[in-house]
Amino acid sequence: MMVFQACLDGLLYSGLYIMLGLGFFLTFSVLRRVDLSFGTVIMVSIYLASMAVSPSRFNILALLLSCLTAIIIGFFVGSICFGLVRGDPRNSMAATLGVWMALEELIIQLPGHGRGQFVENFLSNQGLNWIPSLRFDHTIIFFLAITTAFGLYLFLRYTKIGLAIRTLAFDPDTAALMGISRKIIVIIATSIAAAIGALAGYLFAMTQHGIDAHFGMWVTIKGLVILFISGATSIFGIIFAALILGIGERLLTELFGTTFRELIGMTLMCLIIAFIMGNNKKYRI
Amino acid sequence: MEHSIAMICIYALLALSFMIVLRVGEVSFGQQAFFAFGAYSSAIATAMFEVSLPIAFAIAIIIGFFVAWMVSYLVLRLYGVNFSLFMLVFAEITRDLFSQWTWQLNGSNGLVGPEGSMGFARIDFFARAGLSGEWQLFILCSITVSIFIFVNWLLQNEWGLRVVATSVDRELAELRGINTKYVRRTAFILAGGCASISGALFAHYVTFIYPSNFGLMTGVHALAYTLIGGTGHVLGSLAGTVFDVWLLEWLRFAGPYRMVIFGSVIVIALIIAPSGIVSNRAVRRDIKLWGS
Repeated sequence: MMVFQACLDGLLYSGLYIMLGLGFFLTFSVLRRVDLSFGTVIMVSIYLASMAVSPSRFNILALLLSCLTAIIIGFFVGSICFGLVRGDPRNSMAATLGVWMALEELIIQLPGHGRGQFVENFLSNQGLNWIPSLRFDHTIIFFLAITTAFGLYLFLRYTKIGLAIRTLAFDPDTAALMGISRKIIVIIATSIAAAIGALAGYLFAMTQHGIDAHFGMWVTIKGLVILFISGATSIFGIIFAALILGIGERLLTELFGTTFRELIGMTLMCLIIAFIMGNNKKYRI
Repeated sequence: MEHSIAMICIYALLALSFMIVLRVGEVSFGQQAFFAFGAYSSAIATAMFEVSLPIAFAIAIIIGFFVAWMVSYLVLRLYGVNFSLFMLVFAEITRDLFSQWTWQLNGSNGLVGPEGSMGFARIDFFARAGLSGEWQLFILCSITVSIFIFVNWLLQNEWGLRVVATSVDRELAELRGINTKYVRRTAFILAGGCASISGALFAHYVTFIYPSNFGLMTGVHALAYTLIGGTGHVLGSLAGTVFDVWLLEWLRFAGPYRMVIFGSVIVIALIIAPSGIVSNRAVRRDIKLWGS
């Protein structure tokens, strides 16, 4: 029973991890660069949107606004770190670190908001009628994540823009020869990534009744871990990695407590990376 | 000023460790783990067993080499993002281990030793030996300069060429008869040793270490120092660290907003000088001019 409950709780985290992983996956696939500011951009968007909307308590608007803000901030950050910073791809990564530091500190210095921002949960947190131990909001978030992943899969598979994104992710030279504008595709892909990330971040903040200034770091680390576990090769890989991480974390907490959860989880991850994960994978969606 | 120079010496060595890994074509997010091993091992040696400083530093280097050698058997099977992730997770495991680890002995001033997340206090070798601030700075500077000269000598020699060949095209390097596994392993072990001695200097200079000193941000900052300074020459790590530490000190006037300015300046620096403050070509040209 305890294990069953842990799995159910883990599904919430898996749902959030799926969306975060998808955001990182899209950005990484088209840019071939790690965006360390991804989580911080999401955190800032949620802060700004919930600050602007919270007096009116129109929470759906806050959710939409945070997605829009994430797209706008993400666009500017992307233009600077991936457009203006040239040369070694690692420089772009270091530039995103600079943006991370600057944005996080700006949020900490916001008058009255450095310690955290309240985000109201507009979904019911009661258990379902047929499975009382499964919360309604957790279920909605998980299904939303699966729907988002499936929607993204269909978009990438059956639309022209999706084909362009896949081509660019597979081989930038081929994409250029096919007349695909890298600039436009990168903007589209990173905008979708920012919107999905902000959706995940807002939903998580909602279930936790708020976020603090270190939320961005959490998002970035979790997103990176999912991206790397999945091998960054397919959407289904992301879903699989997110399920393993989300449910695995909850199970380890139940079995070993919070003290040894991280230690055991990370050791297992190290061994998985070293012995199972293949190398030299071609990035494709 | 003295404090800034000491911090530059410590973090320049950590940045150098990141630079060595970058030179073999990998990005490590986890050199701070060796930094932690060096800090704890040397602190245990001087504070708990009261051995002399050179022996404690030698222990730190040996521990750094040994841990890097052990880890290399797992991590050197990996390349690219898998390598980076492994190192990130390894560093977090190390930090977590030190957060759980308690081992204290009765010393002359009461209990001393690592105390889990409360850290390790009273690493007071410098104070017990009666070394003044200038002497401490001299020790830090001389160790840092010696290691920089040694690593530069290694990189300018045949081993350095093999490192570059391995980084540029591993398969081609193997076709030319270079044992790339050996090159990657030796570079990784050397990087571990540099980070470890840096940790030993850090522990003895600040006299109090916490597991949180060895978190991801420490590693990412040191990596940024290297990239800002440039990876073409060992002086890049030093220049990047000097630039960043000096900038942080100088920005004190900005009060709480200094990290905002600092982050922005990092981005601007990378836009203006993408190959870093110090490029290999520039250093060689300057040396030639100086020689003539």
